[in-house]
Amino acid sequence: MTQIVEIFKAYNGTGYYCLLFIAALMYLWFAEENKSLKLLLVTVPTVIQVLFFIPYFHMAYNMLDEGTYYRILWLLPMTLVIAYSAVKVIGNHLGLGVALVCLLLSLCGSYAYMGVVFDKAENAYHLPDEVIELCDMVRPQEKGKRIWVAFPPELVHFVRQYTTDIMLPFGRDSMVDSWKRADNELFDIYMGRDIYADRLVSLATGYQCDYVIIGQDDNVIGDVTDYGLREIGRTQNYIVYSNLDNAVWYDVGLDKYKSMLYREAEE
Amino acid sequence: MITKVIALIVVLIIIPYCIGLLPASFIDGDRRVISVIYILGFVISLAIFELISVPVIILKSDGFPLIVAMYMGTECALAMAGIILYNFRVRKRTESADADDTRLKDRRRLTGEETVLWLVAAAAVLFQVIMYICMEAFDGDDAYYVVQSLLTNETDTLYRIKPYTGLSTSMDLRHALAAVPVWIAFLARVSGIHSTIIAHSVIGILLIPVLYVIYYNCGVLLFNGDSKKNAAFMIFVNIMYIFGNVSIYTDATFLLTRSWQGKSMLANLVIGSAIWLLISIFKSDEGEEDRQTLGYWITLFALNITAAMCSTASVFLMALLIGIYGITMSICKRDVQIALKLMITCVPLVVYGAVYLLM
Repeated sequence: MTQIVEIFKAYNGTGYYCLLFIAALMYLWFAEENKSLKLLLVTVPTVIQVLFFIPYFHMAYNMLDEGTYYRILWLLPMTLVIAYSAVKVIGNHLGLGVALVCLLLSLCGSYAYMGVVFDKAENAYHLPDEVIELCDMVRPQEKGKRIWVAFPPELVHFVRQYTTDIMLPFGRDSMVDSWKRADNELFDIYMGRDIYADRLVSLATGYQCDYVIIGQDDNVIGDVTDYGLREIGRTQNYIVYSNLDNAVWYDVGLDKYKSMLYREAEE
Repeated sequence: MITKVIALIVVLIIIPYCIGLLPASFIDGDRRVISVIYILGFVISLAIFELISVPVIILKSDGFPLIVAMYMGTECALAMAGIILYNFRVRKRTESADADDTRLKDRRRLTGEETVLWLVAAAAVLFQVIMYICMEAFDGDDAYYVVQSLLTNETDTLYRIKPYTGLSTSMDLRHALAAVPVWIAFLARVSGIHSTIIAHSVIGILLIPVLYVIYYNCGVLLFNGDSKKNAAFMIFVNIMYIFGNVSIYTDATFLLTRSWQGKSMLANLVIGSAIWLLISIFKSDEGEEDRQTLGYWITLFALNITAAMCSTASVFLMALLIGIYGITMSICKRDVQIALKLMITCVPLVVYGAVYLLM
């Protein structure tokens, strides 16, 4: 039960909209004359709210889709009920009434575009310009060809949204702690405080990466160029190294992509 | 650029509108307006996509071109059928009855206050659309959904490549049954625009206003066509969305931060449409007992297919909403047929759940 209450509180944030919703339900309970509307806008939401707090119901939902119980609350037509009640309350005094209700709603809510989630879009892809610059630097020119590139973990969310010609030795599935992620030593190297050049090159070569990208501010111990990488370009925050000259490629008998697949299958 | 825009207008606006003429032929004449016809058509159009795409996704790993061809063919055929049926069933009848003249007489000019209210409501919608285009919202799930769309469009394969890394994988059925990413890929294919641009900069231009059209339709019914009250209602709805970011879980947050994802479409468009359709079917005022509602029933059935396209959670959510409404309505009206009819509209959800469990 505590868990359900926590979900409810987390969903409603400050709780003011929730209070307005409950007030609107109570108002409509008395003021709404149309029976079918009353059922849909008052009775059904009330039943859903009651069901939401029943632990067995929570257990049943979790069997289908764990961790998304808050979605039951999407069924409550909060916006519709509050807005409808507000119009009914202000009646024909629309001029002043609309202004007052808008003020109340904006004070009770939280402005969507002020959160940390939003940034000014840098391009039509809504991806960081620097990621696009990096991808363009390394992506193959031939149509249909795919290459492996080791990107720093903070960029892996974006890379394949721009081009799927670039394959990654680790992706977002390595980043989320709660997921059962497969061990990836290259990811661990990137996430460490110090990046050891010999280890990084060895692992990137092991993952058959054609390019390796390192942050300019990363604390790299040693010089990656001593181990076969060659700098081919820089952006504002990252350095791009080519790994194509590395001797290991000449020993790979199979197509790189396929050999990686076989290795994954063996694991 | 112009051809790309025209392609999107045809696929997203004109064809769904023409398809909407099919169910609109089976609703009351006073409700056959653009905003209603379009939403009916949009819902059915998405349902058709789910019906065509899921079998192909399951049976043919590189079947994306087949989906595009079959879907375009079906859409065009249904659009034609819509135009023909509407012409025969509706227009021929109303021509002789001078219905258009009556409608013109009924149409009145907006008052000054009303105009201001509508302008404010429209400006609020426009503001959200502009913010959708100009602001980017970081969402980790895009590394799955948006990449899935891009992969589908670039490789023609369906859910057989890991979006995160690019390695091959077996089909991920849980995600594969919800075909919204493939729909985004379809839009990218027909328009020639990059899938990520479609998701992040294009589709919200349609989906955000569509949500408000659904609310507008609700308002028309709630206020019995009182335009002034509906305008005030629309302003409040807009304000609640713009200030609805009270947590990361709300439907408003989902709409404004990830309108291109199936979950957001479920929370807003699908559940909103369900409520609108239920009001349309069951709200009858005095003297309105003989209303034509078959078109809404058809669309409610299709909506449950569209819901399945958005998210696996829809099976539970939509069944719950419609189920509770059906039971309470049946008890109140002492008519078990209401619950039975509503149960029939949930058949797609049952089938969807069965496929998910059996496979």
